[in-house]
Amino acid sequence: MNRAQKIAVFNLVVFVSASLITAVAVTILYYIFGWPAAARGMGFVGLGGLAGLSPLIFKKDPGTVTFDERDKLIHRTATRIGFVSSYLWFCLTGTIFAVLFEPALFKRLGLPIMIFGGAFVVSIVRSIAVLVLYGRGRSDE
Amino acid sequence: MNKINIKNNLRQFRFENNQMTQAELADKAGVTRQTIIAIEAGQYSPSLELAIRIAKAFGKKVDDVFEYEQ
Repeated sequence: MNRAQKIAVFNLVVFVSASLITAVAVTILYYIFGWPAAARGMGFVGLGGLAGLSPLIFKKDPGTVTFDERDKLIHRTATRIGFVSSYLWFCLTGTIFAVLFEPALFKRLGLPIMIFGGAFVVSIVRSIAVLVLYGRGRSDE
Repeated sequence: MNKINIKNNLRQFRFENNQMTQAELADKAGVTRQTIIAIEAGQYSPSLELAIRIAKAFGKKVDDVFEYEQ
């Protein structure tokens, strides 16, 4: 597993964990205190910031060349896939949240979920795409 | 539509060149070992520039190292 794959796995774990913890916190707060208080559970989104530590945790691979044309192609493709999925996320949540939330609540809860969720979707899908594109049918990397 | 394949003789030329390792070839071509593995396995088609660098590492022409098959 090279450095890019390790970073992708780390980011995937961080963003999926942060998403799940946030979802659980919002759900619990909703059932105890109702909608307005449930918005405070969004604070757990900040756990996603741990992904920023990945370049410090995973040092550069030994060797003269660490990033070449194939790596560049994989990262470009993964980023494109990530942003396409975020577009689908915004379309989906924009439609669902308009039905689910009243305007005041949409501003307080729906909009942060849309924005942070979109960023999370890009990161999660991009990480998965990096792993898939690197790992297709190979076990010796 | 016909499937286009680019086959290569990397493994054969590595062994003909004093059993050159994938890492040594990667260093000579200026890429990572993973890229050489992917090219050798036919999972990645290199750019023209990289194909030329690989061929030069063997002292061969691009046509000798890579074969175009339709």
